[in-house]
Amino acid sequence: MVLGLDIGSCYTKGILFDGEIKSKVVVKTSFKPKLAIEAVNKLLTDYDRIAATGYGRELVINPDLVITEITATARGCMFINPSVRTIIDIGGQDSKVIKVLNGKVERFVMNDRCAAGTGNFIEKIAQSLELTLEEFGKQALKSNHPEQIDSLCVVMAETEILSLVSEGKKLEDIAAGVIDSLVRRIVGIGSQIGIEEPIIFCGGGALNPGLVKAMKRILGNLTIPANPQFIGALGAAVSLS
Amino acid sequence: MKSTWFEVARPQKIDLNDWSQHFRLVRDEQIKEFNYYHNPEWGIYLSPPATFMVYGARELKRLKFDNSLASLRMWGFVFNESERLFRAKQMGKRVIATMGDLGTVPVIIMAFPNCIPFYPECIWWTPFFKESTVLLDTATELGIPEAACFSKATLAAFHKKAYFPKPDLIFASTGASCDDYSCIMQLVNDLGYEMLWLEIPFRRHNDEQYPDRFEEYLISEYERVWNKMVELTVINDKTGLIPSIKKANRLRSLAERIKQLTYEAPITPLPALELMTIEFGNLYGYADLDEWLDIVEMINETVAKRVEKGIGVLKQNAIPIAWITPSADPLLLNLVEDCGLRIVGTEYVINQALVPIEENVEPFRALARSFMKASLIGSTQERIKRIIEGVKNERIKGVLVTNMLGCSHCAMETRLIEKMLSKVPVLSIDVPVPFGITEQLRTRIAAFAETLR
Repeated sequence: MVLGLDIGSCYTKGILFDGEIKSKVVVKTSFKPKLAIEAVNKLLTDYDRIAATGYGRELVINPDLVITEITATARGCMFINPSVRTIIDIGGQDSKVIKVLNGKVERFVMNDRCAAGTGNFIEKIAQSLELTLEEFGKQALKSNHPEQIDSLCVVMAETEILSLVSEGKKLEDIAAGVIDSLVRRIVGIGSQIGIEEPIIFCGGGALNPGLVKAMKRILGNLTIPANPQFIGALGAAVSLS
Repeated sequence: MKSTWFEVARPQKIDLNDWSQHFRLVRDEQIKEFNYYHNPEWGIYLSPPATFMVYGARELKRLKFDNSLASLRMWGFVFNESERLFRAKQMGKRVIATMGDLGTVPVIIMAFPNCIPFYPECIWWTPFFKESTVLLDTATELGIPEAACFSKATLAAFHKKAYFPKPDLIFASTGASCDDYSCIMQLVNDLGYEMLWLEIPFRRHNDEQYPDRFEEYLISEYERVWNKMVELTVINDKTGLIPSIKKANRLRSLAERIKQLTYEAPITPLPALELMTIEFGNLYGYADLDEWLDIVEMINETVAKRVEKGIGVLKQNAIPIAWITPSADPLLLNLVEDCGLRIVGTEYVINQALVPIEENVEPFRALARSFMKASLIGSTQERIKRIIEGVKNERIKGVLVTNMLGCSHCAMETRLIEKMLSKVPVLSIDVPVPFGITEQLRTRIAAFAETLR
């Protein structure tokens, strides 16, 4: 049995893997990755080997395998769909677009220099609008006329949104506009390497129904795997298995 | 030139603490051998890299260095450049700033006795060695946008008058070199520094040859440099150009030999950081060409011995990649190797200083021809031609492109380069501001290595 550990910036995910996911847990990383690793270790104990990935991967004691989240995500997705060509992963701290071919990572691009292309963007705006992430996603789902949000910077976007609120624009349209802005940014990054089908959308961002709807509207056919936030942990475990 | 420990030590990369320990094993007579300008009365430069932390280069603690005596000598020499230039003035030498030209004007200046050329723009690395960003901040205060290329540190250095002595002459070249740096040179001019402006040709298109008149034009520009130097020194003896060209060629061929040995050896004999420092030394010999030549000879011997013994500083399975555009932050070179990669090809935008100079034609014509052959002032396609060849014969498995923040050259070329290198994995990364290397950047490089593996 392999413990696949993905120590992300927002959440630490662990799975027990033996040809399939036997059990899984997720705990908040909250700037304390070592505590998060310990917490997962207490919840998932029945394993022989450990494969680690994510930003905190180097903090795992005596791992059997350490790989980057780019490789891990690619392998997790290829385990689910061996013919996948493009992977879009929206996490809390970064977003990635990974092209895979013949079972290998071909190219990848990341947005990690600015919150505007990450899950953090939505979280910050949701906070400004005094909504939980879940409420924000539900609002966005209701919209048929997303507002246009042009600012590429989260701080500037907040100002833009404030203007829209003061103009009396609907909350649902603002929420959908925020999500569209994020998707456009990620698609823009992905176009550097080309987005080709079949596409898998994963990471914590894929849990947001508003984001999924916008992705499907802009990119067409894409697949959301079950437990999309565990793909990195799965890929690490698969790599060791 | 022998030291038991250094002869038997296994090649590896070591940090400042290790160097301070090992330095005790260098014999006193050896330390005294290495002086500025071959003058034992002046500074002895052999010292452990930690010495330079006293002068503010505290970020050296981030780096790892090659553990050979030759490399120790090289680092002592390179880090001492500022002091060496001030000493040169004290010794009555003339210090000449050559800006933006990349390798040709220094050859002319070295034909004059007691004249030392130096490149103020090489100070762009300084903020990455120091714990302070004062040079970059001062440049911003002086009117250069915050997001401009790191070479803006040059303007601050001229303004602060502390990093090198006031040059006796300044030559500034514009044209194919760099638009951003041309703006910086104009601002230096505005500070009250007089300079002689030269124009170098525009970048040529694919496989296009410059018209003959360009050769004549460059010769006329070199005549202007010569005349200005004659005015300064009251010496007008062009026979001095012959030994100057011979020395430049000796250096160029040595650097090329070290690169080839390093690229082709089964185990990398010299780290990328030292190799880049050697490549940049071709520009002007770090303001003491004779001493630099001795140092490069010594490194060449070290590398050759390591190759012969089949030993080196990286693992045998390190993956060969090429590197396009140099990184201002030297830590990136360490990081790339730590991730299991090795550099076997470079396009560091200093190619004018790598091309051999003909020795059987009139010197200025030879310099003009050498300059115009360089790939940097050719098309993007020409810049990466050698890398594409390396990819074709499977010598290069991936290509890393560094984008310098605020560099218009990079902003325009990177996407083109990526497209032209579609048959090989390419990673393009932005060189962050000093102390800006993040875990995400490390992850990108590590993921790139995993992709290639």
